[in-house]
Amino acid sequence: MRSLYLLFIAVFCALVSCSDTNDEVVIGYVEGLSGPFANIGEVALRHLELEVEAVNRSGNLPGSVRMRILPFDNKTNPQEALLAFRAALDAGVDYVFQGNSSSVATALTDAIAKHNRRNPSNPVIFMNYAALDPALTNEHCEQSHFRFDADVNMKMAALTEYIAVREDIESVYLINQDYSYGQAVATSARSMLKQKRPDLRIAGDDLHPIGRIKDFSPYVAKIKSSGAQAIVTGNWGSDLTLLIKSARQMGVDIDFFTFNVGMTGGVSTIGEAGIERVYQITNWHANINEQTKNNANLYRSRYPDVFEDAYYGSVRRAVRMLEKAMIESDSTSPADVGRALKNMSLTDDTGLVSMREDNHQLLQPLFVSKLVRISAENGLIGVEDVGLGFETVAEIYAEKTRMPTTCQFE
Amino acid sequence: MEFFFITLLNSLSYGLLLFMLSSGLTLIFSMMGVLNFAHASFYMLGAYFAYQTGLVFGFWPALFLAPILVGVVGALTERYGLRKVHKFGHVAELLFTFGLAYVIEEVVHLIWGRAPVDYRIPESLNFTLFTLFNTQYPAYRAFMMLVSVGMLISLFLVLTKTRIGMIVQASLTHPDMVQALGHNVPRVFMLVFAGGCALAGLAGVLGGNLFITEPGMAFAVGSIVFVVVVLGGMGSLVGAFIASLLIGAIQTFSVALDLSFLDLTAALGVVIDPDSKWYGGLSITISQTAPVLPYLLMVLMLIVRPRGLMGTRES
Repeated sequence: MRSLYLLFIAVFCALVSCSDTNDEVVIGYVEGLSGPFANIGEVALRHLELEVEAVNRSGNLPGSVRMRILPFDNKTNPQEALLAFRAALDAGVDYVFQGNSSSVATALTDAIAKHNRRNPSNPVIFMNYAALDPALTNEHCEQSHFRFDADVNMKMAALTEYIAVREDIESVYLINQDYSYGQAVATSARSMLKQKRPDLRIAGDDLHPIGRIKDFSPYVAKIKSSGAQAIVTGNWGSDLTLLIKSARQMGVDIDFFTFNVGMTGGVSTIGEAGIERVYQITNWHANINEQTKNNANLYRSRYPDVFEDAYYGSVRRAVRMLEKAMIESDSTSPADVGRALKNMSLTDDTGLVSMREDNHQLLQPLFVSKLVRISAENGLIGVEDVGLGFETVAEIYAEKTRMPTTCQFE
Repeated sequence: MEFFFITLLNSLSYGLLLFMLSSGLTLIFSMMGVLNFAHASFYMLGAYFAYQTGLVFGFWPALFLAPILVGVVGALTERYGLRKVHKFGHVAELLFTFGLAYVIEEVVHLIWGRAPVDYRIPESLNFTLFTLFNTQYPAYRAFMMLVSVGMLISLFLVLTKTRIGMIVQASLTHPDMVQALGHNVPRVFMLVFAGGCALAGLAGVLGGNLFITEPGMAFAVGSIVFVVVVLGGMGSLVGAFIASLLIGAIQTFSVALDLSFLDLTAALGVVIDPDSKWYGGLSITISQTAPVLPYLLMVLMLIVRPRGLMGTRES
């Protein structure tokens, strides 16, 4: 009986340790892969996959280690995310990638910091590629969290610089999702517009439940009756496409200033009606320079049949910085890599990007771009195969996006 | 004024869609005494079937094919599922439909994936019907209203003017007598269940492309349909109709109300400091609470009038 027991233990150990050998770095992709935002989770997963494949192809990691992605579904819900994180830990994950929904990111940041305090020999690093709540690099900052997209305040500062010079816009309407991120967008829009354009009227300020509204027509009717000339929204995923869908159906003649319209579904939903009317503030789009065009084509040729086009510059920067940090520290352990990431810089397709040591926020150039028709003459790359693409109207240099921080690492 | 009319039209179209969904549910309930928890799943199936058949045949054939397919699925569910469970009582039936909802959702995941499918409004209906003041009113919404009203009228006529309708009505109240007169009551039950599911399927065909077709859509409407049935009164078609329009109106109009407790207190002359601990809670506007209002109404209705607006049963 005893020998049987020992045999069982031996087999069990062999099974467990073979998934945790040292020639692999396991990246846990803890993201919403079901529910209203499942499509967004799948898009970012493909971006991650593309970059990890590139890292593995070059084979530069110390000890010729390879990266492997394990997806975990957090259902875009903080409680589920904690369970998914537990499952990721059990699977031997060292690096967690997540970005969709700041409420999930906040829960994960706390859980990972707690895990790291309890297991100092086996820490985990959180690579946040899209959760923009400013608190994550300010009052709620943690050593283990690194953000690779610009936060709400940085993006809003850039966007409002552009709105400030658009004298023709006299009133804007704020519509956002009712949770930490959307509230941050509304608050920063209000305070920054007041400062930069005191004459601008804020015609309305709506917060709606995230992922729950299927019919935005009442909101659109309200926006319409407010007489606003432009919408400022941080909405993403279906909350953005459905808003645009309603606005388009009701023929609302209005400018859209968005954070995420280039994300899957936005451009094809608005279509021709959005030409010169739809703007976005992002850290990347296809038509910044030749390199970004190459990267966009790379994505398309890797995934010829998918609906969306390349969108996340932040995912590539996160993976490339992770690779560089591993090479520089000659280690794949999160403790060493975390130290190397702290003030790392890197030249990416849009220029130099650098990690802030004081709050782990990446500084990178930001771009305000507008939707235009693509043609052979302008040589622009389109999105979602509808003959439309983005063109830069303003670039904000990386150093100009630096914001004061209240972050105090323990 | 413009806002009022446009919102009124929007609330009507939404309310009628809700009615299409809840009419099937309330029919099934009044007939079998079973609250069909999987009802919204048949709504979802309608949207997915329409998407799939639409890829092959186009939207117009799909408009008819999808509800029929959903009806067939409903008939099979009743014949080989519910009827077997029936002898173990209502609780078993309830649990059966509850489980069925999850099964359908997982099957949808397996076949169509977790992301939304690209089910679009057909080009032939994708135009502006009329411009009210200067807001365009999409033709598809008007079409949806037309179908709902047409369905409402034909349902009414079938139930009151035809022989089948009379047998159905008689089976509702006196199943034993109808059986004794030589009618096949179990088959009537199956037809009603299939018909109710087909109505939900039709709502799915129309709602799926107006809103979004994704595996979460059943869950999103599931609870609101129960609110409609409870509010209108269990088993009352007229009640469901009134409740649907009422909830449609509440959900669309409340979005417009930017009033909060702060305005109330301000009107009373009390100004609350923005730094106050209570400020956050008190500054929540009615428009922010819009999605909760129907549930609040249901709770109030259950307290004040448990049988609903037009319901006849106390339970």
